Amino acid sequence: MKKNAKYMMDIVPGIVIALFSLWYLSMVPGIKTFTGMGSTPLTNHFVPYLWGGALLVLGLWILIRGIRKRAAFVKAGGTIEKFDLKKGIDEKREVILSFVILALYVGLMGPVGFVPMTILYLFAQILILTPTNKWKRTYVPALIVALICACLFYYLFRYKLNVLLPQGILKNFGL
Amino acid sequence: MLLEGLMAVLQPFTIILIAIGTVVGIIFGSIPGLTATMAIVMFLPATYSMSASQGISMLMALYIGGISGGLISAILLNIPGTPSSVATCFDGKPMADKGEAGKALGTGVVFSFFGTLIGIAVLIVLTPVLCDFALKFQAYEYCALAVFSLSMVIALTGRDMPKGLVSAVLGALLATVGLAPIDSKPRFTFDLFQLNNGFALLVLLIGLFAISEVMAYAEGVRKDQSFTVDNNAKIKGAGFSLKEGIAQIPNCIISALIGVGIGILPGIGGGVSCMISYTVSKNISKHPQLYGTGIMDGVVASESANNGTIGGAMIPLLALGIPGDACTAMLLGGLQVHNVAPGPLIYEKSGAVVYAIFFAMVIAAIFMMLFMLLGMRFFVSVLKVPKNYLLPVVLVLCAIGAIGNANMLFDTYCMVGFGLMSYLMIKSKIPTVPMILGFILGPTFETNLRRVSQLASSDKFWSHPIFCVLMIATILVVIFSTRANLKEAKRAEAEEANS
Amino acid sequence: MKKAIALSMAAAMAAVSLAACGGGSTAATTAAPAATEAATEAATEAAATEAAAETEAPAAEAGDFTFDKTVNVYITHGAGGDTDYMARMLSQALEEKLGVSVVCSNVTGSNGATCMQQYKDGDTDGYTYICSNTAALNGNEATGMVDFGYDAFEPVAIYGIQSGENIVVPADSPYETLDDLIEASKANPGTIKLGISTGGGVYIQACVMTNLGGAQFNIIDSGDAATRLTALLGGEVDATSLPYSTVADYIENGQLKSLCTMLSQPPTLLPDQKSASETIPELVIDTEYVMLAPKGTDPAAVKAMNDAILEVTSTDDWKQKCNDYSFQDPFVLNLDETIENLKSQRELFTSFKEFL
Repeated sequence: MKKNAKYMMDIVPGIVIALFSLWYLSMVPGIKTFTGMGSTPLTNHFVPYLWGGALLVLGLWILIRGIRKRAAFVKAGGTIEKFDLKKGIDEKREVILSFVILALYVGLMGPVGFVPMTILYLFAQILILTPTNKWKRTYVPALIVALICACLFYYLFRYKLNVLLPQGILKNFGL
Repeated sequence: MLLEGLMAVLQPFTIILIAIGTVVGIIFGSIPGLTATMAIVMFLPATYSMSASQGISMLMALYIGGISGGLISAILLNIPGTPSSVATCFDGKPMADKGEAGKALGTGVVFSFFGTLIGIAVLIVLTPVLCDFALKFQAYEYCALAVFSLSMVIALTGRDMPKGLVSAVLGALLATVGLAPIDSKPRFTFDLFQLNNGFALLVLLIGLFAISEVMAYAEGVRKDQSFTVDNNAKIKGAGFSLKEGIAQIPNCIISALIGVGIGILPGIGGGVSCMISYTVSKNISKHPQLYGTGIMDGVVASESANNGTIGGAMIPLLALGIPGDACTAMLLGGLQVHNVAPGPLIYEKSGAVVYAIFFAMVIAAIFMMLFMLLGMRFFVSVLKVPKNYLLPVVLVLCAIGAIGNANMLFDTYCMVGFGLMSYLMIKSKIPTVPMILGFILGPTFETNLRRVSQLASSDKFWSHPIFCVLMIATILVVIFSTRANLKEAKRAEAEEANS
Repeated sequence: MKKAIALSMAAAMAAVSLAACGGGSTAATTAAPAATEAATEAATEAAATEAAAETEAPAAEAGDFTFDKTVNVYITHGAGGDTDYMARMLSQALEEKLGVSVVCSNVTGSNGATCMQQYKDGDTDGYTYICSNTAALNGNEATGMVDFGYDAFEPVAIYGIQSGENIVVPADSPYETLDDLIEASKANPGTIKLGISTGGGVYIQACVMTNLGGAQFNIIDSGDAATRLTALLGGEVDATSLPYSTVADYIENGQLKSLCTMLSQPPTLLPDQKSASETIPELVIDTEYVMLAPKGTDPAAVKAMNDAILEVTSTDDWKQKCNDYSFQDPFVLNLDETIENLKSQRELFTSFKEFL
């Protein structure tokens, strides 16, 4: 199992990186260049080509390395396990959930406002990071932490340090 | 004038301002998402109404406190508080995991203090010489310096070289987003004006370190991990013995000087200095294999260097009026507001203020050490706070930091994006740290490479000795580190085959 | 980070390099000089408010808008720069006058374009204002960085003028005037290296010198004010343009000398400087500090704000601050003059557009 994951660790990133660099490189010709007075002989295309090209080479390098590892593995008589998507998602459900609520948090912060979103986010994130069997004892402290942090940070940063935290719906109450 | 400067600083009110500045700086530095730069931004307007020496003393205290405070969260949470403490995580966190959080903190604090002092000493004694040196750094030299520093990535990544390089190149690639250097044409902005400024280093840092740390914890929720590490071992003094401290002196001096050197050169900054001095320290050490397992040397190298950078950055600022990074650019503004014009005449025209700055820096350094050593027990108790509460709160602070960086909500979206990217990178065993180097140095490289292309017709490279030396050094670093990496990789493969 | 550093540096170095992406001009075009004079008088004389009241906008009656909650001021350039300093000084004075808090926030990036883009359609209740400089406002439009000009806002007031940029050369160079420099470049085309920051105000200057003055420099990109200074001191370039405040000490010290100022008139406290417009009439960059409101803001609020600005800038204290900081006397315009001024600057700028 471990050996199996090892070459996958090269093949999958290799493919992703190579595809990404191709996508990046494909956008370079569309960049407007500046050819007026005092323009540099190397235009603003050169360095993106350089990085994109370097990334493509590295991606392919890792990919080929992975394929060779796989071949060696098969030759050595290893059996290739199939990746079980459902099991994978289940294993990582806390991580996936954390990303989802984090995305919701920042996405809705503008319209809804910092304070309500922070309360919801903190409460949810604390629970996600707590084993389910301890949830019962966590509800109250989590809520208290969420309430205090949201209000305190909002007051401190918005009114004392002039960080433009979104007001959102609080605007209707003049806060 | 010297006395005048001393008197200006030794006012009770000024001392109080320095104390407040140091504490606030430490707080801003220690909270991931808030940085020294932000502390200075927020307090700069308040100094407009103070006297010149009061205002500048406070800003210096914020600067020193902010750069030093970053080590706290680097060691305790594995999340660097500021870009300058990225390398402190490498050994600081393993030390904390071993139950040596107190020792790691003490080491970081004490050697931050010495690093600052070395920086100040160089600033006072060698300013005229170093100014000439700084002026020698033009397009050719910067270009070579960027290439040289990027070659450090190979030394930094260890045996999986292609993945380390992927990370660095990806960092450089991210830095191409936004208005291109020199000609200000938008690149990869997808017509979003918020992307015109490019991504902020702070936002990338949060995504790479803070979010990934939370996700790493989230992965283990069902694995019944212990919430706290036992760090109850009593902290005596600074947490380490005098003997251990003395053994670190050469390491500290070399690292601080690297920090000063990088500080003198405008536009590079503490984030690079800590990583380069860590790499150098590792490579000249007698026991390089222990780096990263939690030894003092790593913390000393990183913390002496980033604090040395402070003194270094003040040299071109005061003597030439050239700021090296966002922090010093604001200090420059703070000085100009009080009609103190940094430049060749600053000693003649505002000598008292210059000496006041020196004294204020020393006092701030002392306060920094004092407060942080006194606060150490309290900092360590952060580890007792259950992480399921602590980490979400840290993330909220990071989001606030991302918003506050440019007062734009858009940066929080980037933060989440970088967090996801960082998580996938870690899952693919791609190191995240080289990315920071690529991200900072990529634009320096591009800007100066393009300037060189413009100069090349009239100004040949062989008339630039520093350029030639750096390029030769780069080639040597690449050859030697590649060989070392290949050897290590072969050994590792052989071990695997045997097992 | 890259841009952040570059931009905050630029801002701190008196916000002229990248920042003062070209300034508008007053002297070169019609209407403007009169407005300038009128304004200076209006501002310095005690009758400031009366004069303003006489030329009030038809839609608004003075005094029918009272500020009763926090006023938000968004500053387009970073803390530590001149745009920030002037905006904060003004806000401080306004706070006392209006009796409500005036909160300043910096929204920086792309020479002020980020902030302007974000707040040009902001709240129109009269409590949102943007403080910037005219060079950034008109320069970004002329260089094509943004596709809107001052008319995408409700201009409130121009409330100050910068100490200006100067063409500087090393003190031991043979050139004494801008004429010498340009003639020398014609005599030996491509040998005199002029350091510029592409796309910025200095770039516009270089374009004007080349296209209207016939100069033939070897144009080298040297970045923002800080790196241009390094390049000049280190000998990478032979001449460049830098904010006066940055080079004042180098001039006094005998390391550098100034050939001319880009301002239409030398700063009040530095009357000996020559103006570049004596050599090339179009070569004028007047960077003025301007307050804008989002498009569609209540005209009464704009009027009330302008009145308040005229009042708080007529004090001796304000004069002292301007003298100390930018070697200039107060320079404040009422609503009509502000719009007139912005318009003439923009016209001059658009005339450069063909060779930018």
